Amino acid sequence: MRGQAYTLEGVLAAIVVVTATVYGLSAVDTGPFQTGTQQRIAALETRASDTLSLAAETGALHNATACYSVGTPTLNGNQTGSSTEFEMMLNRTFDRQGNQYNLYLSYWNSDSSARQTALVSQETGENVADRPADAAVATETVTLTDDMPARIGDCSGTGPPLSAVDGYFAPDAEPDSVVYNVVEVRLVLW
Amino acid sequence: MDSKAQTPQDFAVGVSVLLVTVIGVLAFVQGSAVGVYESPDVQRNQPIADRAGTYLVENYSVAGTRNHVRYNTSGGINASLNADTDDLRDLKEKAGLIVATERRVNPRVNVTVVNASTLEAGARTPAVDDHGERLAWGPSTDGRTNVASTSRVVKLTNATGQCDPVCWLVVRVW
Repeated sequence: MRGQAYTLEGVLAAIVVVTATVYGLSAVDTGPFQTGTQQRIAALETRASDTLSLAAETGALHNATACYSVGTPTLNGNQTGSSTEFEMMLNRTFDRQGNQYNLYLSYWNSDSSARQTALVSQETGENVADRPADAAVATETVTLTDDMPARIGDCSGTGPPLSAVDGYFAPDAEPDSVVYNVVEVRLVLW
Repeated sequence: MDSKAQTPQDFAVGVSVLLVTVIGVLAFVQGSAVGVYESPDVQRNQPIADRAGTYLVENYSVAGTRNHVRYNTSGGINASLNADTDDLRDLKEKAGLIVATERRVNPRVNVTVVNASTLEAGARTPAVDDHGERLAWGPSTDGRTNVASTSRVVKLTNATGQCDPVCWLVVRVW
């Protein structure tokens, strides 16, 4: 008799605890644990991929890629020396909002066996010294063909075809095909 | 006062000191573990703002393009949001933001377009179009705290140079 009473008491107590837990959980919003840094990085990531998407869409990214090392020494938003449309986009979206970034171009080498990466934005004092552990990354790919004209001036004027330009940074990865090179543009932002 | 130990008094004093210490630490130490739990409103509203921003950009984009938002055409973002109620009920329904329950109210949403020259100045005031109309929809965020916001980088079609090179579509949720 007494044993049954203890068992019943245990069962009742367990029901009370489970009910309280379920009720309590339904009253609060549970979500992933996120710190402020993670939220900031997520916001930057959205902006970075938006900017690259938009630049790819308008052709500004292609122009900047076909222009780099022919008409422009660096591609950065500070607009010292050159002001291409892509650099203006970087300037309004990141430089003027107090964000630092590095821009990389990654391309096939001359026999398309390995990829090489070049830092094409300017190494300023700030973005060398304060490169943090948390950074947002966005990438976009640009395909160049042999007969695409190199861009000169502010990257809107057309020059000779890429395959005929001497000072262009990327080599012809597949000389037998119409594809000149496939360049991956990577924006690292913090 | 007799010579026995003052157990109840000891207990009361000891517990008070402990409580005051714990509350003092939680209240005055900055950047402690407590900071992570600060303003849960923003944490809850951030995904809502992201979702609303994504809905606006994807739904109003020119077909076949990314981040090119239809502005002044029929069915564009301007016509749709102007035709909406003051609290953007239609937008909230379509973007799946009507989440009210017994304990929770629907989020309030404000949509703002910031033009390139304002961005250059580092500000977030809404753009003004040719007809003198401010490109901001929904209730004002003035004086609101715990506002979650998401910024999408877009170009508006036929916006006469305001979005050269870019505009921002800022969605604020609170």
